[in-house]
Amino acid sequence: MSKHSVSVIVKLGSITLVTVMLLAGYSHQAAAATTVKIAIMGPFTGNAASVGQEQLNFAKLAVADFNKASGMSVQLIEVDTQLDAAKAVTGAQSIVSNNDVVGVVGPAGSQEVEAVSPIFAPLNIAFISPSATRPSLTEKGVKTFFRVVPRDDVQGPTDAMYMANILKAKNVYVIDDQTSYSSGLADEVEKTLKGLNIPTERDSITQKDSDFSALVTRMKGATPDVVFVPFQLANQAAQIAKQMAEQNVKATLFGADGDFSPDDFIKSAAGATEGAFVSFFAPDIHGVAGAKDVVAAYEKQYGTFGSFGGPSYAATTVLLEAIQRAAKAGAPTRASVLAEVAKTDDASSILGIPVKFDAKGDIVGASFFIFQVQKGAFVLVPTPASPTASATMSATMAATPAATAAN
Amino acid sequence: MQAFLSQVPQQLVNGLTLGAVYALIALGYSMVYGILGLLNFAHGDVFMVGAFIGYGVLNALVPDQTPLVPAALVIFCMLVVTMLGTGIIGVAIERVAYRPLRSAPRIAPLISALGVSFFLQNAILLTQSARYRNYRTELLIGPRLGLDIGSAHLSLTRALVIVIAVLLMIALTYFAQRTRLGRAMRAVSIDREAAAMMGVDVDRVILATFFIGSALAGAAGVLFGLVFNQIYHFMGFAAGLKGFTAAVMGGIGNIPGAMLGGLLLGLIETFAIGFISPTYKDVIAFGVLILILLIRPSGLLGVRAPQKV
Repeated sequence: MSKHSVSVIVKLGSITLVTVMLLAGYSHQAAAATTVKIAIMGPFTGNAASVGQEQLNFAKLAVADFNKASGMSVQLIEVDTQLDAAKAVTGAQSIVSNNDVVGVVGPAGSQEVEAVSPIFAPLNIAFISPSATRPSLTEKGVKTFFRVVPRDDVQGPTDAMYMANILKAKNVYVIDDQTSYSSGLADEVEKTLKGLNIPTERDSITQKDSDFSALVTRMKGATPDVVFVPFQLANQAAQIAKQMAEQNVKATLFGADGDFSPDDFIKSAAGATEGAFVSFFAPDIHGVAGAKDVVAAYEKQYGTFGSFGGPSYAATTVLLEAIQRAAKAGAPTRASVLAEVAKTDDASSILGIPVKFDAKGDIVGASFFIFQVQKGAFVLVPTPASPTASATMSATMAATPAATAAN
Repeated sequence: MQAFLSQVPQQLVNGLTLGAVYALIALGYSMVYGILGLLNFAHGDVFMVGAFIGYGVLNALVPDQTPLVPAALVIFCMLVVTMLGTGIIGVAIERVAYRPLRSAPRIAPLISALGVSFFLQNAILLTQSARYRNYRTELLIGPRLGLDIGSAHLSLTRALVIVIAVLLMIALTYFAQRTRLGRAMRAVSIDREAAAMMGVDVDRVILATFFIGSALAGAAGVLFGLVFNQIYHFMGFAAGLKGFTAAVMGGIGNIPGAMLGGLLLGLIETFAIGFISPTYKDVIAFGVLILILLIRPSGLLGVRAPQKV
């Protein structure tokens, strides 16, 4: 309800603004007279609301910062998708019917990106996802899709190289949770490790399981030194850690994405995940020097945040800067904004890396970040293996293009 | 082979813990079926509510890092409060959802049971949110305490869970065999009408059955929380399914059968994970169930029910 009244107020406000401008005979500047809008699609309610709210608030902050710096007045339209592909389609249709919208931030999930691609692509609407990592998204020739996060097929090799080079793993136990995300990533890691002649064992659990003691006993017999648990539910990884401690299995736990949850992975494990590693597609921007002002502004206005916000701010900024460049040649249109997004070449970003897209819409040189649980918090650890990892990655990708569709 | 065999003692510990919890759930399932011929699908959710009540008591008595009263007393209070709580819930469910349908066709109470199940799940979802909650067992029982038997480690928590479950089962057996109400319960389960004609207050017996069965499910919820820690609103579904399987395996309607079925199911699952494949543990467990039913259609300890005409 409040969202409604807010949007009514915003609309009324913008109508008043335009009227005042017209009355004042202020119409020689096209960019100022027409309303430029962008939309953000994300799970603002529902199970993933904590993710979506963070993405939304960071996008709002990016728009406010941009408007202040550029003197333009771009408006942000919120489209709630609840991480549901069907809702994303409905939302996308409402976006295309609004001619003021020149570009989109989102959607958040890979399944949603897949669903809205046929709607946005023919109309030349650029859409930039801050969190969709499925490799196949940029392999289908969708010319208007971009992402500021790396692909899952970078993650497997990154994680495996870290285990091999930094953790000096001799024997890795790989467990997936039978979701396509988890088994895809587990496959990638196993493949890279096998290529390095590091023996692996593979098992799987289901998301319904809550007792892993029998699995831990089985694991103990295999004497692994690293246990890879790319789960969607962090509490299951925490449970494995606890039961490993109970049975005195001393291997290092290594998780991914879904495990990146301070509450479920660290707090609920009561110390058992101390020293464990988790790879995640975004850095912790608290530690990025160029992000200091944004972090301070966000914390002042919205409070604490995790790692989904940074990419959202970056994606929104890419879109806004494209609008600014397009506006130099007249009123920004969907096509001109799209052309400018593709030309994005920022030397630095809030993520601490340059932003530039390749022909497919993937961010160039993006990598996964590895965190370690230290004293009860996720701490970003350096990944000196990165250049090697990306080299291996391109080699793996060249060898098996079909594998990228798995996730 | 050596590595395989060295797993056996630890897997026995794992399996017995899991089996003890399954057995407590199976008992309530089996008792209600024995008396009413009703599959109480809400039973798993009573277990879940029990886990949440125990969680509340735990947090009330251990508000910070140190328990307000001795740890043993905390666990005792968790069990007593939860068993009373879920017992009363069980009685309420019987009064509201099953008694009005007692003479209705068999499908009606089944649907009603599903309704209760949804109600309980969503009541917890709305009041407690969908987040996983954690029993902070480590504040009550040191996580490192326990016995090392050869290569196996029996933690104090697991030992306690097994002992409490066994004590509850002994108490139930004594109750069913030696008390008036227990005898009435067995009489009603054999033939409700005949028992009524002999002067047994059938309604009272049914209420008592629901109270005891639900109290045991609540106790199972607390024990589950103590040993496996993580609880959430939907956990009753899987647990109910396991309890039902165990009840059928042992012979539904039969009290020692439910205990045997529960322990056996826990052990089968654990050994399937340890020695065959974690992925196929349910396939193997249900495969064994089918095998048992092929050989003994009414379960391991079940007696063939005479067809009532």
